[in-house]
Formats: sequence, structure tokens, C-alpha cells
Amino acid sequence: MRVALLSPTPSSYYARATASLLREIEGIELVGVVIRSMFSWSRFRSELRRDGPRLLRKIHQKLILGEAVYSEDDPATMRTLVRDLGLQSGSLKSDARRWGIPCATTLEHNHPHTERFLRRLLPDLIVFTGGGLVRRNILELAPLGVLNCHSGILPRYRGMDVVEWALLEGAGSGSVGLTTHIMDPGVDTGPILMKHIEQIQPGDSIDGIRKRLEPRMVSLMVESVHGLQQGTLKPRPQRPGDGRQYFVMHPRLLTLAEKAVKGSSAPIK
Amino acid sequence: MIRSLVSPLLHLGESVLDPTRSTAEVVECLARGSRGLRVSLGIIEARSPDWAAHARLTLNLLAELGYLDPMQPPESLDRDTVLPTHGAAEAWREGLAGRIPVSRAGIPMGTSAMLASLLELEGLSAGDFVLECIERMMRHVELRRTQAFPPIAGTSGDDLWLEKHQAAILLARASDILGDLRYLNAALKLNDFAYRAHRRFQPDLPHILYLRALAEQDLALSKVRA
Repeated sequence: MRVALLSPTPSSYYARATASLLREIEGIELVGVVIRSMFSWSRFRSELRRDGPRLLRKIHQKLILGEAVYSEDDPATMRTLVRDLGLQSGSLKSDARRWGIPCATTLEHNHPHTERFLRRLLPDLIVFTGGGLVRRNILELAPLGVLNCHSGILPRYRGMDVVEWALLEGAGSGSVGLTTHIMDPGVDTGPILMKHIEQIQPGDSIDGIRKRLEPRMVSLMVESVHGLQQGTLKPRPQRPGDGRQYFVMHPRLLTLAEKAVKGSSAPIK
Repeated sequence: MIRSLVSPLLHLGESVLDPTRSTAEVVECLARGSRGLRVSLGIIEARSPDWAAHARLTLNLLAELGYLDPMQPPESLDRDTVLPTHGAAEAWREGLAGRIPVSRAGIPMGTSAMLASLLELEGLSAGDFVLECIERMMRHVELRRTQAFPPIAGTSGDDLWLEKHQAAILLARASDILGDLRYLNAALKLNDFAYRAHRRFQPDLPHILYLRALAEQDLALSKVRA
């Protein structure tokens, strides 16, 4: 099976770890990677419109803090996985050069240059590890489609901040986790492949849960690609009415969600 | 080196740009507003019976939240007193003939109050029309953020604020009645966006409605906590 990978940035741990593990599976050939450039004004403007000032925090965490956001002694984080795979330095571009596979840098994944590059690769499947909305020209390019790992349980929790929303709504065990699905033009509405349910531990925090989910996203993505290749997984369509689309959570609700996960009964005011 | 230079700049940028209001700021705004509203109730009653009805309902909500003297027990929280009659709202819905009056361009003036009247009437059994309108309003606020509810030709600045505050009230009520916290999320954001313009109370309808929007939002929040 020929697989191409879309990466949100040159240094994305998620993309690099996924690419590295996919290459180790027999019968899967990573035929190329598309890397979204680190910065573009149009993207900055549209993300600022969507995320507001929270975007600056994201930039700070991803580009300035980098590895420093992870605890040194936590074995269940992306940092540990990346170190285990020997990827702590370099970028996806240097990885691609080392592996001898084609690599393209693009301002955004929907760009006609990206489309032309991907068409030449003739992928059976495109693996999406982030980088904004993907339009129909890319979604329909590979016979098996574009595979995404959503950090929420589908079909119920679509959209943004769904770990937080699931905790706030107190939906109970089984409401926090990951889902792989084939992307369609809707927001997280495409056919489902696999789910991972994350157990909430005593003393958990939202940040802790999110960090724990990161390496699990890599393994679920790889398992899903493997399942598609083996023919053991079949995408199951979602019904539109089975879920809701969520948006960025307001900080006052976030405080309540954080208290919900900690089981605190302290007053909020 | 880069981290020590850039990090403080990004934090400063975030704090300057962030329209989000903290709980403490909202509590302070509600406390100051409740004092201002109580003191100026006479002036408001003299100006307009319509404004006075909104003011009395807002005072009742503020009492419910504990912002007023316990010597003044809250009266009933009958929101219908400040809304179009249910008959007028049903006639408005029939006039639309199934067309949803919420689009990318925003909403015509008065839409939020009509929807609020239908929501108070139908409650949990709200029909598809009301649910679809509220869902689209929520999406409009989330996607357009500070650009939500742009001016429609012929709309004055005050009218625009009135519609935004009515929309925030509707979303907070919808969250409370329908149990969908996404609507409260959108109401919180709408109220944050209006904070700078209306945080200092004045005895006019836009400020009274903003105070009520904050009170409705915090009443819905207090139920989430409970």
C-alpha cells in the first residue's frame, strides 16, 4: 500500500513519529511527505480569527517551548516516544532525505502545488497529521481517502476542545479518547475506523490527559493504516445527527471542566 | 535566549488582545451594575415603561445571584414580561414560512427576542425551527467572533447592541432550558466581546440589557456548577 503523509509543520513530533512507524510495517510504503511551512500570513490571520489570542499561546508552546512542555519523568508522553524512535533532533524534511523519499513544502495543504505533487506519488491512502482544513481536491485524490485521528470520541464529539467538552458534560467513562476516520468535507463527520477510549485516572488534569493521548494518536493512526492494508478494517459511516460540533471552550467553562476531572467540590468564584 | 526574549512578548500580546473576561471582572461588573441599576430605577421608570420592565427583571435576576440586599427578596423571574407576546412570535414564525432568519450576514433586528419568546413558550419541547435558529446563531458567534452580527443597512449602533445582548440572553437561556452548554459558551463569548463598550453602567436600554445578559449567563453557569 502506497501512503503519503501530510504534516502541519516541519518539526511535528506526531507527523515524524507516525511516518517513522509506518515505514516499519511490511507492505506499507511511505511514498512521500508534504510539510506545511512554519508560517504564512493568510494562515496566521485565519487561525487568529478562529482561535483568538489563544493562538499566541499555541505558538509559544509549540515553537518556543517545544520539548519543554513535557515532564522529564513521565514515560507516557510524546517526548518519550520521539526519543525511543531516535527523532529528538532534526525535522521531517531531514527524515525524508535520510529515508530517500520525496518531500514537498507548501503554504497550505490545499494548494494546487500540493495536489500536483500528491498526484505524482499515486498514493492509495493519505495520512493527515494536522494542518488545517482539507478541501475536496485533496480528499478525493487517493482511492482510500485521507485518514485523520480526531482527539475525541466520534460521532458524539466533533470539532474543537472535545476532551474538555466531554469532561464538562460529565458524559462518563468512554467519552474521552481518540477516533480514526476517513475525512470528508464536514467537520469530523467521515466514516469511522478505530477508537481508543482513555481511562481517567485519579488526580488527572486536562493537560495530563491530552499529553497522554498524543503518543496514543500515533499508535492508533498506525494501527488503522495497518488494518486498512490488511483489509481487517472497514470504514463505518457516521449519521449526521449522531453527534454535535463543538467549538473552542470559554475559559470559565474550562475551569469547570478542570474541576470536573479533578472531582473537586471547591467553589468556583 | 530566543525563549527568554519571545515568551514575554507573546504573553503580552495575548493579554492585550484577549477579549476574555475573568470571573472576577464579571462579578465586579455585576456588582457595580446592580448598585447603579437600583439607584437609577426611578429615572428609568420615568424615561420608558419598557426599559423599566427590563430593569425590574434584571434586578430580580441579580437578587437571585446574590448581588442585592437580602432585605429585598426577589420577585418572580417572569421573562415573558419583557418579550414579544407568544401570539406575536408565532405570527412572526408563520410569516417566515420555514425560512431560517439566521445567515452569515447576521440576523434581522428583533429576531432574538422573537426566538426567546418561542423558547420560553415551548421549553424543552422546542420545535425544529427554534432549535435550528439557535444552533445557527451559536455557530455564527463561534465562527465570526467579534465580527458576529454585523450591521444591517439602516441599523443604528444602539440597535445593533440591543440585538447582540438579546442574542446573548437567548443563548444563555437556551443553554439552561435545553441543557446544551455550547450555547452558554457562545453567550459567554458574546458578552466578553461587548464588555469594553458596556462595562460601566448607564441608565439606558443597551446597558440594562447587557447587565441582564451577564446575569443570565452567570445564572446558567451557577446551575452548571450545581
